[in-house]
Amino acid sequence: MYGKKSIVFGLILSCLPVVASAEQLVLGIIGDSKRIAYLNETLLQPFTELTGISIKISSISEHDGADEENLLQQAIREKWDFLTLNEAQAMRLCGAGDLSPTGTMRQRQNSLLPEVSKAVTCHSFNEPRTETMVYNLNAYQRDIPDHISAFFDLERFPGKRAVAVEAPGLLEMALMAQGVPASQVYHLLSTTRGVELAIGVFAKAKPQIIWTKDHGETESLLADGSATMGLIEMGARADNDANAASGSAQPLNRLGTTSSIAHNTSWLPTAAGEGSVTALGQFVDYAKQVEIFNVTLGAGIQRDARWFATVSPDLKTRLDSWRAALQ
Amino acid sequence: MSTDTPAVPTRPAAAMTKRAITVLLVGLIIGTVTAFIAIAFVETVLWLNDALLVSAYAKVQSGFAFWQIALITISVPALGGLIVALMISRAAPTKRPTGPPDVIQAVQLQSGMPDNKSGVVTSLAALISLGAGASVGQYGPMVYIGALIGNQTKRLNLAIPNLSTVSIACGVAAAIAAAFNAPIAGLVFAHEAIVRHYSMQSFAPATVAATSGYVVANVIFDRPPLFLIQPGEILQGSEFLLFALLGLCAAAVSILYMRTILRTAKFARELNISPPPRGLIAGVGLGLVTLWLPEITGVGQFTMRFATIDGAFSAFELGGLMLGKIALTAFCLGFGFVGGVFSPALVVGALFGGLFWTLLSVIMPDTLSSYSIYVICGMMAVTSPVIGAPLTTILIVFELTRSYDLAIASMIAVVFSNLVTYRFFGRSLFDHQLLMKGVDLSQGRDQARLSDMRVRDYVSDEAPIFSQTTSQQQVLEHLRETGWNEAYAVDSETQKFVGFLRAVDLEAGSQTPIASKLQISDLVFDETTSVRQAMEKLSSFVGDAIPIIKSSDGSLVGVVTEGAIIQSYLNLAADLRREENAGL
Repeated sequence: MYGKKSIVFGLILSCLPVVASAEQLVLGIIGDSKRIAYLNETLLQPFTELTGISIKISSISEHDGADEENLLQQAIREKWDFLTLNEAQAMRLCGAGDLSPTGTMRQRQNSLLPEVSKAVTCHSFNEPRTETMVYNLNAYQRDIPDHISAFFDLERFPGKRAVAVEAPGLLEMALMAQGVPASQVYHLLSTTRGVELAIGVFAKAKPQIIWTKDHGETESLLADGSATMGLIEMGARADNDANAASGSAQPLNRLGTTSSIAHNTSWLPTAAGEGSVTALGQFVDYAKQVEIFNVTLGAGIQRDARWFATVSPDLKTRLDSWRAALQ
Repeated sequence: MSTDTPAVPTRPAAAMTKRAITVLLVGLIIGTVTAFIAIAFVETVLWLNDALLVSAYAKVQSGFAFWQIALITISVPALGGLIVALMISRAAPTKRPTGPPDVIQAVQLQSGMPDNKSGVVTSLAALISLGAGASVGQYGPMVYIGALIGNQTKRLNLAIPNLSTVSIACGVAAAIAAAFNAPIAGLVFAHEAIVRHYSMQSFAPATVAATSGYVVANVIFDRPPLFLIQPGEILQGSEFLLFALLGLCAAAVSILYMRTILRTAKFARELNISPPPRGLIAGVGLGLVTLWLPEITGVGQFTMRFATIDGAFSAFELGGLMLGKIALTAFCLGFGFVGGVFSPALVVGALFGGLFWTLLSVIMPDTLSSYSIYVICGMMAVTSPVIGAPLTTILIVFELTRSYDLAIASMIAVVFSNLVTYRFFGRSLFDHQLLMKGVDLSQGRDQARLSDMRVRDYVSDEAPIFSQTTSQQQVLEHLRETGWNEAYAVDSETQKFVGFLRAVDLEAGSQTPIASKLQISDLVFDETTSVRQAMEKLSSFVGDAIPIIKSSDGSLVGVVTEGAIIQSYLNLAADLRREENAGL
């Protein structure tokens, strides 16, 4: 049942279309068409229906190595009201002072004088997202893959693996498959040896890996059986289950309870758009109420955005060149 | 109902139940408290490693330039070494770090743990050492903290026999259970390495304590296990021969590790440098090594993690890091950092296991089982002789991997390693350190305790001791009254022992001093003579009693009868039997 707050909030929002019916917000959203469709269905369309404020979307490539400064310039040029970036990019951009601060966040600071410090944040809200490794139930009926290491075990679990080049958490997954606990993954990745090792794990599995351009392509390959394992967004698995029930897709199952990576997409107000402060406020308030922004992250690993935001230049270069080579 | 049924002794049963509940409750409380403190200890070490930019993770995130990082890398351990040295030399009453050997000694000899202050200072010093990145272990301090917590039950005055031993066992079991997520191994370690018997009185509460430790670590805090591997199966039966060979080679590594630690400590002592500058040298040395080889510094959990992954290190790196880790651990411990030897041994063993597999795979490509099996076998085969707990290490493997194949492979390697190490070094590094202090546990706890008992504590109160100027008649009368056959004479001025005389040699009614009748004793003890030494010499002794003289001035401390020595041995044997067979 809905709480009192929700009812009051709903009533207030239902009165707003009259006030702001001609408004439009422009959003630059990272992700492929499938993600945008998903957001449209769960967030944007209901918001428009409720408030009358229309939404215009620009799609951005979901890529760790993308230059957030350029994206911000694009946002300013094209007058986006919101720019979405992965959390590490948002941290870098905010740290550089290119965005207006929206609040502060308590965080641990690694320094010689350790203290819990407050870091400035520039996002209005974070969108929790989870990717998970899945396998085709029909392909592995006798020997069931129950650990993330199965993804890299080509001998025991033959079959093609589909992974999006831009998918987050690949290196983390590679190390976890080698038995590294989630709490130690970023300590190992902080060394050149750790990064090389994780890249090497993918290199060994290279003959069976299909590098896709995005999650949408991965999902298609899994659905039609061209790939028997893959990394997809958690929400996509639910869609696939519905299709599998009707016989139009291969049935998928999650590869172990810890084979997922949780990460945040930050929604950053740019102050470059033409939407009113009221409309922006309404959008933020509405989004914060939507279920997809309030999910609890499951088992697996939480992506350490701070690590990515502050990774040393040599490691960042190594990571970027690896990603580029996969394209 | 039959009327002649014997009455149930309700009071003893109730008392026994009360005692059993008390002991189990003690196990529960000690286990829980130890686990929380052990986890806090580990977390603090990790926090310090990040805060002091010791960990690679913190260095990457710091954003400092290379020269700044280099400066910090040297100055942090240097300062840490200095602080640790000052703490131990100024604040610890023992003037030395306490550790598992002290726990073993306290339990085996019933001699009591070192004072609490030394224990607390040592634990804090270990925390700083580990936090500053010293290549020392964290499990030794955790075991000591567990024992220290357990030892506090002596304040409770619960009137339960052997409670001190039981409580220490509980603390140790909980510490290992929490550290390794392995309650069975914790339980067995407490008995195998510390208590060295398996009485129900200690086994039951230690089980409760180990389980509490496991629940706190695994269920409440969800601590990651020491290693998380999927070892697969042993491919060929003939590989068990290779595991035996691995065990034999691991013994050599283990002996090298232990001897290097002992010799470096001796070398550092012989340098005659006072503790603070010695600690500073240790810190600067550690810092310089960290700049060059960060993999061998600290507890080594990340190096060990890498070592369990095939391809993370080349054979050259595995060998080099193994030798480097041995040398740096010996340097850190010898020159003043405080910590254990367990964790570095695990790292050394893992690197050795990886090297063994890598070299074998060149000779026998595609026929060996997985790399991780050999790493785990090497890890345990090197570590078990260091801590003197082969069964514990086998159980750790089994509990962490749930792999029967791997447990058996480890068992072979561990047993062969221990066979060789026992022959050429001794039961463990801890026992060796105790031996250097004069506590020999190699012949069993009864012999060790006899060695710790002094004959001077059993001197006879009624012994006929006279001045050498006393008349023969006077002495003879006294001997007839007391039933003694011999008397013992001292110089009236210096109180030096001058000899003994027999009643049969004295002339009745003679007023001549006894000096002319004195005989030299064939057997004389001094104040340091142990009951064990005394018993060895008694076989050829004929007479009433043996004089005990002060070695410094030759004065007579007293005499001890053969019966008193034998009675002390019988009392000890009875005590041990009661302890080893005690129920709840």
